[in-house]
Amino acid sequence: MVRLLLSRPERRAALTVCLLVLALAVVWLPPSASAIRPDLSMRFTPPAWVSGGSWSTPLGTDFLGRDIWGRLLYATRYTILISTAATLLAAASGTVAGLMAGAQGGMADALLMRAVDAVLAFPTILLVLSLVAVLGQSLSSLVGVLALSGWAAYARVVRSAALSLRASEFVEAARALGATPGRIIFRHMLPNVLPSVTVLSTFQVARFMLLESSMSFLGLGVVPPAVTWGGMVGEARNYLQDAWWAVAAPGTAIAVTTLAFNILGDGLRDLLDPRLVSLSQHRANL
Amino acid sequence: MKPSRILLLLIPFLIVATALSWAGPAQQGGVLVVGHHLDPTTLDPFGTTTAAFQSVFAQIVEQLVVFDAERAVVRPWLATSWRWLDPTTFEMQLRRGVSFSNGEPFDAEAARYSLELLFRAAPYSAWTRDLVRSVETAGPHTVRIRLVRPSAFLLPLLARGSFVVPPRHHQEVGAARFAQQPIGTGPFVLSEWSKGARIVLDRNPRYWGGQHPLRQVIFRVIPDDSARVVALQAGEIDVALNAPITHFNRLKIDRNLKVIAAPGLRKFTSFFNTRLDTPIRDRRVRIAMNLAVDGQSIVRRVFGGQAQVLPGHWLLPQEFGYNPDLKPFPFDPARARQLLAEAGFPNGFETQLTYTVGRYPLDKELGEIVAGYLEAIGVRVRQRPVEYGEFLRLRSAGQLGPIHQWGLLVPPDAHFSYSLFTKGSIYRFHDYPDEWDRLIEQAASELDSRRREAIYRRLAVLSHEDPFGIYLIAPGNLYAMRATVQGLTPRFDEVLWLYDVAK
Repeated sequence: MVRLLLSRPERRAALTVCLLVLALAVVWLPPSASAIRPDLSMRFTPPAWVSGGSWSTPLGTDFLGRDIWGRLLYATRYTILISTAATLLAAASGTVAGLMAGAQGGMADALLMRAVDAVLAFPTILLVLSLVAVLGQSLSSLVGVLALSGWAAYARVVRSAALSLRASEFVEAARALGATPGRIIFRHMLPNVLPSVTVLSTFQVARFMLLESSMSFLGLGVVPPAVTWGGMVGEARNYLQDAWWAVAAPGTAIAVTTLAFNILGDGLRDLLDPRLVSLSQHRANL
Repeated sequence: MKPSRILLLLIPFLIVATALSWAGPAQQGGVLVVGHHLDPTTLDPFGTTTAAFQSVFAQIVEQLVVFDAERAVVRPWLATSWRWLDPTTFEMQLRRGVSFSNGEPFDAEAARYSLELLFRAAPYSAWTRDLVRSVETAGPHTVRIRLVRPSAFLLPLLARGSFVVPPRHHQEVGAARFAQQPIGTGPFVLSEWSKGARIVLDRNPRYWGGQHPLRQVIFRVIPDDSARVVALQAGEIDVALNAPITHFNRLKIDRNLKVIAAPGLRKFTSFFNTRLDTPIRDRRVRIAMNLAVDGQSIVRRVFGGQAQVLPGHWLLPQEFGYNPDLKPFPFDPARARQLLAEAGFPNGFETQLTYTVGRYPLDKELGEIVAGYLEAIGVRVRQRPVEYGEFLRLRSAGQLGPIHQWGLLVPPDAHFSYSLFTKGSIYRFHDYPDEWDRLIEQAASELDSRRREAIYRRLAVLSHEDPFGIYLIAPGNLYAMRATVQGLTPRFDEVLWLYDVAK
């Protein structure tokens, strides 16, 4: 299975990037002082390969003279933690809601799906912005708000899967044997919807990363000295014409990482989609 | 109908339009488009003291007396001269032959009516409380103000807010309608106001000072700094108000543009709350924090030289009451650490810094910079950047914490600065010995300006030796404009003055 995932070079690259970024987020390296503390005498030092640059600040410095490379590493942690935590939260709540709706049907289904409609009908960025404005700026509220904007997609996907599972033979068999609804949902249905949830999650991580970036860009992200990639772009954009590198570095990080997660998601989908799997097996047999 | 027919039909209209455009002097002169960073919430002269709003209605409604463009000297305008009859009676002679754009005459009654509005106006109430006994007319062009007690700051107050409105019209429509459609004696009249988009002023053909060379002034609201500059570079606007200082060097080298920098009076300060039980109560800690911040470096590197460091107290050289004997705190982190150790905090302590974000240019950057400097002497700073509305809410809830940082702009007379920090004021977070309030009160009723200045110098020394804040910087005001715009001089009070502008 893993071999299939790694069958293409871009997927190998994507997996490497994702693992690297996740490792950076999990391994708690203390940020270097030059990444956090302003040093006005170092303001706008260009990257090392540009004239005037120095290898002590390989990617240059920002408008307060802070080392961009160090900040980028430091920001990875917050960017990844926020988007993965929000994804996990959204996946968990959305899956439970979707299973409830799909397995129970009736009133619960109607209510949950109207709630999903409401969330999906609302422009995401507007919803997120107004919620942050109300709840205040903090790491936990940021994660909560992102999750709140993302659970509906899971609920929809899981519900439709659960609807077809409910009519499947093994679920009927379990029911006939007297399994409780809870056991049916978590023991028999959940494992069967997990592949779709996993695929959706890789896309959601990337989406949340972008959403968090836009919020940080608008000044509603994390509180300094904590910083995220989007925040770095936001604070550097006023100086774009003086110091392109302060925007380019975090911008590249955002682009590469979201691309990597998307490619990974594509790969997982191909891998877990039964029709495609059987097709490739068929090919392998030939 | 064929397109050619439509064109034929259009021809007479075009002829008429062309003829009209040449018809009268009303159509001569240029149109000046000003890129404004804020959309006024009101154009009521007595409803706001925000310089950005005054910048719009100051072209429509004129004042009795005005500040000089460069410093706190009061100049005659609609009032031609004034004198003190006795320590509590102030008399002004008014300009003759002036009328409002709606035809009402400008006379002593109009001045009296407007002054009463000023003395009752909420935004000015902190300065006018228990000040005025009555306003009377004494002849068709003479108005008298009777005070409760002698006051040295009546004149600066008038220079800040003595706008004159037509009494009959104002009474008829009421203050709320007037705020939407102000009428005055100025060189322009309001012709259109689309909220959030633009304000159009047309030339007042009957202006007492002669017709203005500009036919029309259009204020376009462009809140985003970069967008405003881009609009200027693209030629969509002629003047960009509040041009970002970060763009100064780049704008300077553009040949089509002119950039004028003027010192500003918005004083950025990290105010200490010494009523909370934190190490900041210790005077040595507060001095240490002042020594820890390198104001010169901030001015030079972040503001490109377009700012001034507060001179170790809260009054700038452009203001009345500045003490030239005091110098900015030197940047001396070693001494700062030593002072912290003497105060019993050799390993620093933890504190919180609340600052505004997005309200003033570079306010977030300043917050991060100050936090960085304090960290460098061992003070651990929890930063709390807040949006301005939240900042005001925290203030009224009394939750600004041990240090809060923002920029205050007050009229350029020491009285207005120091009276912010008198007993009972919402701006006061540090309590001085009784001498402080006594001196402020004494100065307020001291009519001899020498003696008054001496008192303010003493107050400056008090606030230097026992700082109520980290005295940071006052950023300059940048006006960026097309090179063709003539006669625009930035004013130290940040109010736009289009009276001498031509294009």
